[in-house]
Amino acid sequence: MWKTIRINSSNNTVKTENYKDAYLGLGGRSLIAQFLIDEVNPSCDPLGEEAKLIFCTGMFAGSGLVCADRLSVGAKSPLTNGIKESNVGGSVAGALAGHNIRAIVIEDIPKEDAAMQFVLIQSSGTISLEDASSYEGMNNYEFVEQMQNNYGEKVSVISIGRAGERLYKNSSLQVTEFGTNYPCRAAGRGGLGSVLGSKRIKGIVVQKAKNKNTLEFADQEQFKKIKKELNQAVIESSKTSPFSLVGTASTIDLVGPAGIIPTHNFTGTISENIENLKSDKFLEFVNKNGKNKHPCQAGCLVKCSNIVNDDDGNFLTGGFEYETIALCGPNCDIYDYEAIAKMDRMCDDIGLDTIETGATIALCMEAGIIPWGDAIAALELYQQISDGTELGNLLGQGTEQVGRHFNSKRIPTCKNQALPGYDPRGSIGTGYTYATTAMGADHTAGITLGPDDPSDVDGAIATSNIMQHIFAMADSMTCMMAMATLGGQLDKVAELYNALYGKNLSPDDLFAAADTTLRLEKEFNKQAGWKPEDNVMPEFFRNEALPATGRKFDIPVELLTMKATK
Amino acid sequence: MIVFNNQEFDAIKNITLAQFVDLMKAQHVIENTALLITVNNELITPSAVHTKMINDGDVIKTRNLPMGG
Repeated sequence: MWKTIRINSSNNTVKTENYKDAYLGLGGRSLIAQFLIDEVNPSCDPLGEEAKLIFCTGMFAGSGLVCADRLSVGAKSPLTNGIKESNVGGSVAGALAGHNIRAIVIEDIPKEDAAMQFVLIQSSGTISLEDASSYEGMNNYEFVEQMQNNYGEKVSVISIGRAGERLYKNSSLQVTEFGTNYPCRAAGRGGLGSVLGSKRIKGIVVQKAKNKNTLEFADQEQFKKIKKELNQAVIESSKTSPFSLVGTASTIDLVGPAGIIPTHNFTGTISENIENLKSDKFLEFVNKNGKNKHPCQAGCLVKCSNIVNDDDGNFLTGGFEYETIALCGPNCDIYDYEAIAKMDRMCDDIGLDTIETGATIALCMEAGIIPWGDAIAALELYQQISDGTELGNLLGQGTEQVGRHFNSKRIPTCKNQALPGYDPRGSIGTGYTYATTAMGADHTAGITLGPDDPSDVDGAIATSNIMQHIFAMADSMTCMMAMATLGGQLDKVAELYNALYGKNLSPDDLFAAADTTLRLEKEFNKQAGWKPEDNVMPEFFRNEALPATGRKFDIPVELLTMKATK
Repeated sequence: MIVFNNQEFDAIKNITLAQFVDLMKAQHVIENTALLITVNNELITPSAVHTKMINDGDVIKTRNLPMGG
């Protein structure tokens, strides 16, 4: 029933293949892992001819299950030099599912002087490579507007801005959001925008299918029944979830006073200005001209997203999330929602990972390039990245490279990727995930944060290992916010899977499948040259205590470098 | 007797951990069943709760699945 689209960027061919039987039942991150291990040489140049970029939908895409229309993007990361799956909401995955498309594989690279192209998937199902030379140098908002003018207001778009075109290692892929259709959703981590840029492809434009795909179910009635139960469970949970009532920014209420939010380049110094960013202030800011409780994709019942408008009522940004706020805000001593929202907009427009960029700007402040807390100066640096100045080109290379350039002794990265919004000294299980996951420092690989986050090393490691499996499961089928409910009903999730695919999986089998995904990812990285001894936490987290607790990151090195995945 | 999040409950024979958690939710002891659970200090995976049997004397502690974004 599903199709795989294979696009060769060197000879400009577009092929439609039947989806492999062996891949049936895989989706999202699990499919990315299998594709990459099967088709990509792990030691390849991430921006070279052997590299492939894969877009795929989750295992329940198009089925009406809550938050099932996530898009996974995967490749060898030019930032970490390991496997990367970056996962995003928005309108594209649903549009692809409507066309029966499970995966798009973009292969090879064209000659250096080749004209830029984009992929057009028309409502008829026709797929073509189109000339994009007149769009080269455009950032995402303008490109999407052009595509909407040319192909319809409701067209769904994946695109790169100047950052991806210039092969910056902190470049994102932007995706149009459900409802607003602005490119404010990001597959941000790992520099995957540059992989698309290396193939001289500006984006993928998807018109809604004229004849929408209908899924083939092994047992449609059973599927409908269980889907209804699971969706209802998420609706019930959302009535009290702070992610639904406020948004992911609600996390600040916990991690701000606890000193876990990164501040002043991960020193952990607590500022009284953190009060400016708490939930009540966030709601006040967002709802002044926009709104919270916005679904980022069709079928989202969690609604943790938002729309931020400026004082003139014009759209400023959307999907204004905790990680962006933490890294672009307090990590740079900036505690002003309006300024941080402008940074989010600029990152989305240029096509930059907000986490990587926020961490990079903090290093510029530490190096004295701009003053701490100076939002205007920070925005000027974002502009320099867009303009491609000498400094801007440096900042586009990511936190690790910028830190080395400035001889910083405090570079907050694991596997060359900036740490996200949880200081590992305040959540050592999360730190264990940063150091050991195949994804580089990445909160979506499995956090342990929250009340009762284990403070003992054994408990933290055990929790991290379980959460790494849960997040691998979430990234293959739905979003992690929905998993906060579905994770308690894996028996029903297994029944749902069986009703769709005609299998007989148990909850333990789902967990085992997640384990397979993690092992494939680690195998890819092993072949790419990663070694157990690379599983390290930057030394300053071991030498400096977190001011709020006095705790250092103290999981012994030998426990980080063990070869086993669990 | 089962100790669940520091509250004592009568032991029930032939019941899985998932069934016991559902019972706790029905009695409004907990709000959500998406949990990380320890039984006698051993962390149980969310998949294994459907096969793990509860025994008299077990001490069960739960926390919500950690999520964030």
